[in-house]
Amino acid sequence: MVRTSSASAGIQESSEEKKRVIGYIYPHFPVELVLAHGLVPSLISTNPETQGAFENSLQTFACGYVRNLFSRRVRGELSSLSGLVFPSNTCDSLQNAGDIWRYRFPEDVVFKVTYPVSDYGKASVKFLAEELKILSDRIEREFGVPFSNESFKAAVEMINGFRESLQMIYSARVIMPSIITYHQLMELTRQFLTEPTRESLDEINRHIAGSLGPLSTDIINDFRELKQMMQRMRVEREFDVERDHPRIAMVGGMTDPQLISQVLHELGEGERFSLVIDLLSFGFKCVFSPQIQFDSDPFVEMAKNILSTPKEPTQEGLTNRLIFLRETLVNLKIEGLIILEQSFCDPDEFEAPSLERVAKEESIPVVRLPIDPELSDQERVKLRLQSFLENLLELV
Amino acid sequence: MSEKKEKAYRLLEANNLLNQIMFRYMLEGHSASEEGRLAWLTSGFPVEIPLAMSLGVVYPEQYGAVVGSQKMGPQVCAFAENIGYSPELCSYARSSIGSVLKPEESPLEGLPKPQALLAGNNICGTVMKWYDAVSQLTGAPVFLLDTPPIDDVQGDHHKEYVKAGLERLITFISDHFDVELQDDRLREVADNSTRAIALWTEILQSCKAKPSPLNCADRFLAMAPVVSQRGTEYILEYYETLLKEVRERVSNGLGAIMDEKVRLLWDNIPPWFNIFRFFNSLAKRGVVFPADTYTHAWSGSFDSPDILNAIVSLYSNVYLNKGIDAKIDKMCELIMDYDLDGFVLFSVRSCKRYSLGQMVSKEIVMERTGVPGVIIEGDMVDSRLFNEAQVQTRIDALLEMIV
Ligand code: SF4
Ligand code: SF4
Repeated sequence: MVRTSSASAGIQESSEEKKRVIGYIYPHFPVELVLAHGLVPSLISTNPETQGAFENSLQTFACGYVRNLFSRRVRGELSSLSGLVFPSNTCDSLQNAGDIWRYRFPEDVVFKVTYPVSDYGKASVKFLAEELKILSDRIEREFGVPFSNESFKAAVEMINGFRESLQMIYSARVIMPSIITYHQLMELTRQFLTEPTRESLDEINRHIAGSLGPLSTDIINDFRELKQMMQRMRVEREFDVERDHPRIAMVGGMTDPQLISQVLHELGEGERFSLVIDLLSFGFKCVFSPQIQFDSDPFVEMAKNILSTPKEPTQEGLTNRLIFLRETLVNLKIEGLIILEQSFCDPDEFEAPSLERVAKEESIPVVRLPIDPELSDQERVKLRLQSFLENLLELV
Repeated sequence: MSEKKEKAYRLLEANNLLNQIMFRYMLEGHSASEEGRLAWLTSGFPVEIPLAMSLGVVYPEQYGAVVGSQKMGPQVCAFAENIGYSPELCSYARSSIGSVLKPEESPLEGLPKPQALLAGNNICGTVMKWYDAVSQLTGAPVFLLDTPPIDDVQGDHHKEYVKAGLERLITFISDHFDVELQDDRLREVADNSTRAIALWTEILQSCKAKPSPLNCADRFLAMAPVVSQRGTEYILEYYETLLKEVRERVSNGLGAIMDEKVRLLWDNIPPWFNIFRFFNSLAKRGVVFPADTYTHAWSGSFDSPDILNAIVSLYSNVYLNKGIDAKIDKMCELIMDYDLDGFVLFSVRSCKRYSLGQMVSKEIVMERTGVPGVIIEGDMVDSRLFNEAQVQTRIDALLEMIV
């Protein structure tokens, strides 16, 4: 495949000294597979600075995420990538995006992984394992780098380390949000998603040691118990939580948590109110994947792992997601809920009324926030959040 | 054959039979619901299985078309919007949710109450979310048959996965309705489907004739039984009658419109709320649509010793479940085979699955076939999203390129 050589254009081959970077979009993409080929995986998130360069390829009713992705490509922001992996069988916007991309940017190296929507047990694992094997073979053919079992093992150990540490700090701050602000937590999560290296893992661990070191064993045990429950997407009992400020939760799909954490930070998160938990794809759901095992074939293990991660709005399982939300609201003493809906995102927009209903049934104030990645109406978003928070502060 | 004339358009006599079988379909849906054995199905669902297991079936997408054609889209969709469903969502979904909320204010008093919701994502990913929402409101359980999209050839792992889904479907229906699947009954139903699809395919192909015996609106109405009642025996008589009438038109040189001058391809669902006005006004200008991508979606056969494998193959490989390449190939093939002069892509705001991709499709189809195309924008049910003047201007521009 010919790749563009113009720095202002698209995805291109990195220089020899630098490792090739493979972009990915789906929150539960197995980054360890890319690492096992000696390549670097990097989440392609939205860029609020990049606007309106998608019009040649997409109608305006493509979701905000996909629009931003095309705009970023047209503006040359993805030129450091050597390839991009599109998910298939997730949502209708992304389903088309990969195909349109191939026609629009034929010089780019584009891969596809098809994920099962249904959980048919072994049949789903087998299907996904085969899809991952196909991807691995294609990566090898494209870049001449084989899948290495040693690199896979090292990658899994590192990823498992990330998840273990981030899950701990996530759970800890649900109970005790003063440990670290949501904004700081998102910085750490972002490092894991965009550059999973030993150095960034060490940094996270330093944070944890600093924050949790002085706490009593009882408190740490509570954190651990909550962590185990949240891995199963359950919160089966009440926890004794810190209530210095009103406790807010946030739920939604692929809205970039960093983007919204910035807005919340500006509105006084950590000082006037605490965003104690998000249930977003690129936040909680990426972090709370279980540990990857080495019990059998690596592709089977990766497939099993992906299929046991917290389910996305693009998958089956609405009833379980609603149970989890209700338990989170009640047992973690949440006092306000923010529902984020990416513009023109069917999965978000279909689930929002059900999520809202749960909050209302539990008499918890709720705000629904349609949002686009460019935050083109940033002021409106900020104002709505502000007035929601003001009302909440008065109530609590 | 007697022939009624209405402006620039010929009416089909077979429509009387069509009305009768659609009425029967409605009554059967109601009695199945009263007996506690009604399933709502998506249009690409393997209906042969629930039918062979004695379930009654109705199709919410078809109901959406009724809401649209009765011009009640904005009103019924608003019922769903009022409880928080975004106006950006598919209007079939919104109108179905709206009619569940307020059946007394919806056409036909809504669809009869379902006891199960059977969704197949070989048409889009939206259906799972939509049926989940209906499940929240009605309490009926959802079964999703996952048929992941296919790029070119269906791999063995794909076949095995879809087959596992079919087996789960059979268990799901057995458990919920206390019925068993009998092989001979499934064979009978599958044979009926094969015959109906074969008749339908022949009817579609007769439109290669000049003048074309059918126009777009004819096919969109005539496809209703093959969508919603394939597998039953009683629709075969209708398709045999229609085929006979179509053949007569062809042998007598009679077209669907009085004076055929321009032959176009239609892509996507039609704007149900003004389907007749839209196509008839073009008929007056000599424009006919001998082919469209949508009604060609129901094709194939179950003529195989292993029916479950045949179902896996047929329902996974519908071109709607394939990528843009397949859609482009289909459009080029139809333009060539039906000798068409141009094409109209209806960009349906509700339907991201089919509409996103039309911008590149348009360029490539034009390049490959050498005929011009145009994209018009709107919606199939929600008339608030249809700008008639803008649509007219674009169609005029297309016709100027052709004539
Ligand atoms: S899940 Fe939603 S935000 Fe994500 S790509 Fe699909 S439509 Fe866009
Ligand atoms: S999104 Fe499109 S394919 Fe899916 S139900 Fe709506 S109109 Fe049909």
